[in-house]
Amino acid sequence: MKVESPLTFRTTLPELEGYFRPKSLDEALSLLSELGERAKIYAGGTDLLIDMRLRNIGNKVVVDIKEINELRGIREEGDSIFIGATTTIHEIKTSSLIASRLPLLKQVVERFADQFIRTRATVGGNLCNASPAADTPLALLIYGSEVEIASVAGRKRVPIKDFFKGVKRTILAPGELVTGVRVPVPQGRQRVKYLRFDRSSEDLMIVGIAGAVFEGREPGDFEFSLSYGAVAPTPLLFKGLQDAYKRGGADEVLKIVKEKVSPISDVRASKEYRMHLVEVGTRLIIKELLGGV
Amino acid sequence: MSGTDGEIQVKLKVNGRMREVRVKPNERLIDTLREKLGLKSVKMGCLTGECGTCTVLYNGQPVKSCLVLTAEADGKEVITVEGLAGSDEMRRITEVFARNNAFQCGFCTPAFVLLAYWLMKVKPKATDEEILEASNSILCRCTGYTQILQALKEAISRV
Ligand SMILES: Cc1cc2nc3c(=O)[nH]c(=O)nc-3n(C[C@H](O)[C@H](O)[C@H](O)COP(=O)(O)OP(=O)(O)OC[C@H]3O[C@@H](n4cnc5c(N)ncnc54)[C@H](O)[C@@H]3O)c2cc1C
Ligand code: FES
Ligand code: FES
Repeated sequence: MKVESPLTFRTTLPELEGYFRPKSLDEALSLLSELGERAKIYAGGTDLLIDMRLRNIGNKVVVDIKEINELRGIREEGDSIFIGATTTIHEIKTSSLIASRLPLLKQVVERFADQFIRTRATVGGNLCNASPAADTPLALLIYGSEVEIASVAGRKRVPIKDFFKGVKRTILAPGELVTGVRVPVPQGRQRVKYLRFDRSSEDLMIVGIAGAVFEGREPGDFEFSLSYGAVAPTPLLFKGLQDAYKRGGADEVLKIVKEKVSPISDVRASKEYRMHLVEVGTRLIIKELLGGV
Repeated sequence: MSGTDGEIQVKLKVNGRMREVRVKPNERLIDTLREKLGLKSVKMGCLTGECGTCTVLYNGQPVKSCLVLTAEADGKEVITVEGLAGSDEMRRITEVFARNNAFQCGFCTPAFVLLAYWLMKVKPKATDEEILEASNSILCRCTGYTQILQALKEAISRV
């Protein structure tokens, strides 16, 4: 989000040439293919309308996908849970299925924005907006989710770790739409923790750190993962940290993490403070999930 | 599919009355309510989704109207503070807000009044935590919130 000088504060949205509200996925996909680069998908609008007002994007036509039924809802399918793209953060936060199967996602959405925004904001929008400070990717990365993408050419699934390309950039091409995200449910016991450092509860994170321990079949066998928000151009995932932890505890884990994080200074915090939070937060999570430090 | 390349005809229920407006695709709900329908209780604050002074009840849920395109509101229902005038709920809200001094400049008041109304209608059993959580969506630069939270609690305490 850009900081505005009061002198240049814009109050209106730029002129648009059209608004469409397809009722089925097929209709939406042919419309998107026809319109190409002119089209912008509109879900909850909680990022889009701000980007339009700030003139960060110049698309001329909005395609509202909120009335497409097949893009909405949370379903258990075999060993995974499918969350439709236009499912709202509020729906995820109040879902008993998410609370019992994907507790880390539940913890993450509890810290997301405020209640009125959560009523509108969608999980698809949170992924496609590709903010380094987005909350839901931190849980979805750790669970090894796949993003489902559709276009007139067909459908594909992409591991979420390959979905983000940079600040506000994803692998999506014009004409493509995210239909939802498929989250594998861990089969064993899971211990999870989300630590979110922020200025106020409704503000974006200064740094977010999610951690999970997935227990394996054998006693003492476990997988340890961490993910970080707002410390690099994209959310960062570290899987398989259990070996480093067994070798040298939190120090060894932090060595691996610090090689990859590259925070910047902005309105929310300096890069030094972010580095400090990475250090402290990682140790706190390790202490809570694994006992040692 | 609905939608067009030019202006869009939108029929929506506002404060109990069916209204029909022609809007451009870039018109926001806050613009329509304030400029076309004259509902000035909907305040224009940050236009960034942060302050909540533009809050309206949209299909029964409090949302920030600066982040909604009016084109999508066809067939939807909107309630603003003007729509509460004369109701029993509004009488009670006025009483608890006045008794607690739950405003100073009043800029955030329409949003908090709608929140009080929503709590009375939808969450009359809300806990203090739930009231606090919902209140997080609206900024008040004057009161320090204590009086507002107390007013919200009292609004639902005898429903
Ligand atoms: C006050 C405020 C507080 C916020 N706090 C947080 C927070 O705490 N944590 C956080 O993570 N975010 C936060 N946000 C950002 C925003 O609310 C989220 O990113 C939200 O999930 C975006 O979803 P949306 O449905 O509103 O997306 P939209 O604004 O509708 O769309 C966002 C982008 O994604 C594209 N898009 C949307 N859906 C699809 C799809 N299915 N396929 C392809 N492209 C698509 C759009 O074209 C657009 O580019 C906040 C925003 C505000 C205004
Ligand atoms: S004006 Fe809409 S949230 Fe501030
Ligand atoms: S009374 Fe002034 S902003 Fe709340």
